[in-house]
Amino acid sequence: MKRSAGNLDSVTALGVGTTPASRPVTMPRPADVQPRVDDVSTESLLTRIANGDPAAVQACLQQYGGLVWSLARRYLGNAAETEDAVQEVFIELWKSAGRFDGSKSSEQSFVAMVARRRVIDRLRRRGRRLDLDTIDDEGPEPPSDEHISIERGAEARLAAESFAELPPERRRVLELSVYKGLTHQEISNTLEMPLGTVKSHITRGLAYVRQRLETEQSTGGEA
Amino acid sequence: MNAHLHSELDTLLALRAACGLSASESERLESLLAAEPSAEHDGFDRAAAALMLALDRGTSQMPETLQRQLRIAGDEWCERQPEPAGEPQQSVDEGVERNHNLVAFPERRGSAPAWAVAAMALLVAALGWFPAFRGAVSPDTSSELNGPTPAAAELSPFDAREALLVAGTDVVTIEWTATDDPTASAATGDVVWSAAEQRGFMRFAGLVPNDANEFQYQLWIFDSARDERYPVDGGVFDILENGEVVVPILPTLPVTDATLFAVTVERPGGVMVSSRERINLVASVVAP
Repeated sequence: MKRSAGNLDSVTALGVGTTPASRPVTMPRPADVQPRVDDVSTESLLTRIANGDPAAVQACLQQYGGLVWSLARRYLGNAAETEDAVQEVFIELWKSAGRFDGSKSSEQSFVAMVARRRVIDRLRRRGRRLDLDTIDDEGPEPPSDEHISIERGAEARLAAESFAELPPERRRVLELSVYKGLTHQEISNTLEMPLGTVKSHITRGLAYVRQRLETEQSTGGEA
Repeated sequence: MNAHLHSELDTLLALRAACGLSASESERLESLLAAEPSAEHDGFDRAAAALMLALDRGTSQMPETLQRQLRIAGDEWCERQPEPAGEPQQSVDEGVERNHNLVAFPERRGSAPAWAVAAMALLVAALGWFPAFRGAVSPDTSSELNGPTPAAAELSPFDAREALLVAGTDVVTIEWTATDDPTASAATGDVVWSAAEQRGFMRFAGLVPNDANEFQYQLWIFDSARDERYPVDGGVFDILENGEVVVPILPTLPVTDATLFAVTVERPGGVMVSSRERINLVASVVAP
């Protein structure tokens, strides 16, 4: 057994068998190894995928795997079904990467949009939603600016601001639908709220967030 | 479309974006969209996605097995895509028909010898969608050996290693070189690898047993045909005992020209890309 000096930047190679060889084998430094998405190219991952870049496909998994997994797990609950859904989402993402338009949304939002559609479709197909017992009774606290600014992009930050401006009851309905994945009927049952009111809260609340996002987009952040 | 229908259309688009529609609602939406083909369909979806991100209280990591499945699926997907415009089409004759079950990046396709491609196809076919490989492999755990042939699968890892050494035509044996990592302070052993069969074995003695809830070992195979930033994942494994242990190597991707085997200490479940902060063993292959 040969022992190294512990410096792995240059590990002396061993030949086949036990014959030492003189040619060194360089181990890449950790900093060279991490496939940081943003240091490979300024081009978006989805654009690179659409252009057939295999490394971008893997980087997309690394970048958004946690997001998609968490979303699907939260909506579906069941681990096996979640795994199937996550696979569906990524295949859909790779296929639809060419449709991503950076002028309309961030890449993160596009990924979340595709993932939500897929998972909601799956929920609908199976005809059953979440375990309503897992829904906590407390309404959502508007996310803090600190959390959003660290973890999320500008769109999410603006959406958080918009959300915070809504009446508490509307925020609660939106959280149960958009974040928890409940149908309007389930929300009606859970909150003991008339179905028409639930639909109204969803429509008006989401319209408000949409309007804020589109205004920001059209003014380039000067609104 | 009058104001009432516009309002109904917006409501259905918002409800679809927020939490999906029932069958009857979907039918109604389709009829409204048919009457208003210029309607902007995605605005509510984008708003819902942004709001979901805003409300998200943190993401969790997907399971390692799923990560691996997706990495393989990603490679397969890439394999099926047409070559980028402007580049010459890669020839895939060489006696090997394009096989969509293969897992290789398009730019590697031409460099993989036919036998490696065929062996990988057999491996993929034999092991199914993904050969989940976990757990300690001790001398008597023959059932945990997922060899590519039924005969090999019936052998213990020890016996399978010996069989490969005897029957393999291109088998290399490389001693481990330990680093200063405390897990490998008393470690000895070697790697046996056959490129033709795309399999091999790691033998360890003295490698510190691990608690899988605290950390796990992970093998990486550097391939001269691949970007060195992305070595092939050789599997996550545990060492449960101090005696001699043989662990099968089941790479998740074809290895055309292995240049270096490295074991790292990783968090439970392993990682997709190692920080290489704790490399404890390496075995380097140098062409004779």
